[in-house]
Amino acid sequence: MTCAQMREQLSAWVDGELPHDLTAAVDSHLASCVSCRTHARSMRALKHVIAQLPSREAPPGAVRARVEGLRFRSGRTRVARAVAWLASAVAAAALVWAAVQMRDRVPPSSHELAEELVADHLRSVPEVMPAEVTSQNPDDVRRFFAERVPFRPVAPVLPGARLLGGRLCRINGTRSQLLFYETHGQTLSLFISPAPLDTEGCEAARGNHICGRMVGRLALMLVGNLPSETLQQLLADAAL
Amino acid sequence: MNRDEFAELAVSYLDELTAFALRLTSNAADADDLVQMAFERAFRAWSTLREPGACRTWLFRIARNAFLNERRARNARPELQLVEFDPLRDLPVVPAEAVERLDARALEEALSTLAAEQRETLLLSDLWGFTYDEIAEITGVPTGTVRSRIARARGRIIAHLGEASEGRRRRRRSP
Repeated sequence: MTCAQMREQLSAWVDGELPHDLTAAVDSHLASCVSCRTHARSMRALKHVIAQLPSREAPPGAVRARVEGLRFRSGRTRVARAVAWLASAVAAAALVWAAVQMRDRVPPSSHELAEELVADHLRSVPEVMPAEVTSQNPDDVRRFFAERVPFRPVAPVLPGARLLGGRLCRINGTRSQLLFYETHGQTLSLFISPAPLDTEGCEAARGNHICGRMVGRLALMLVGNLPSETLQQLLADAAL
Repeated sequence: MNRDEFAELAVSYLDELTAFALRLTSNAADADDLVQMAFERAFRAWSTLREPGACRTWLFRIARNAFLNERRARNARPELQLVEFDPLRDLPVVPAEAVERLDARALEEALSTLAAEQRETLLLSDLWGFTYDEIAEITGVPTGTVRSRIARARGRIIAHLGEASEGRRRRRRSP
């Protein structure tokens, strides 16, 4: 075997992927060729240094939670799936009926959004589900969101409220920030999103209020069990 | 293997899949989406997996296919394929000690000089420890292509190191 033919085989030889007869031929060539032996050693060294690179990366808590949650979704029986289908069909019909009833009273987009965000607030506050980043330092929180959201992340200072941390969320399919604050013994959720949203004024849903404000192209929506005037004031005084 | 056993096994590969997705997308947000998409598909099709031992390879293949489908869906232009020299033909002599001294940053830089499919194949082999047959299964190419991609990727990196060390030597010589 010539050195040129050897070069074709060395890499597979290093990986132990050559058939027996070729392995023997490479072994025999290497015993007598210093140059090919050097190449073989450097290829093996390369394999070794690549193996030292990180091969695992912990995903954000929200991704882990969703993946873990799949096992329960996929585990439903046929009967359960049928019941779920029936339930969703009934729910869809109820939604259509409700939408028709409410069309002339409440702007559906803003009310639906308010309901959705209040529901997110209730199930995501750190008392219920651990935050993905826990820190009172706005720099730490911004750093967590860097590259996780499609905009430059912010961590506004709300006067009289303490930053607790945050987690990733989606609003209208757009990756957004969800920050948590504490004030007056209540936990507040601040949603920050570049999605085009109707943020005007305040809404009430499930015993909570939600108020909005645009800052540049970012929509800020503050949710909590406080009077809407208090939430509006906090938003108006928020320093980005 | 029942559904619970599959779930247990699949989720145990989550961190590795996340690292693989990061390598594919080069972006944490897209990697998170890709991982979720891959697991959603895997949980839908788990019953087609015959051997628990093949689960890891199967998950990597699903993640890779999901990445390619997503890229196609975005109408991304195909990656520019450069016609490159055969690195095995004029392989410079680089001592193993010089390769061993490579730090992670220099190694990443060397990896970035590879064509995407060469880099992916080499990492599946050396970083995640898949065999050539398993890589062929993940990437959907013949085992011979896997063998050739890995050989050329290693040759390319060694050639890159040889060029870099030659450049340093020249700079030292010049006044």
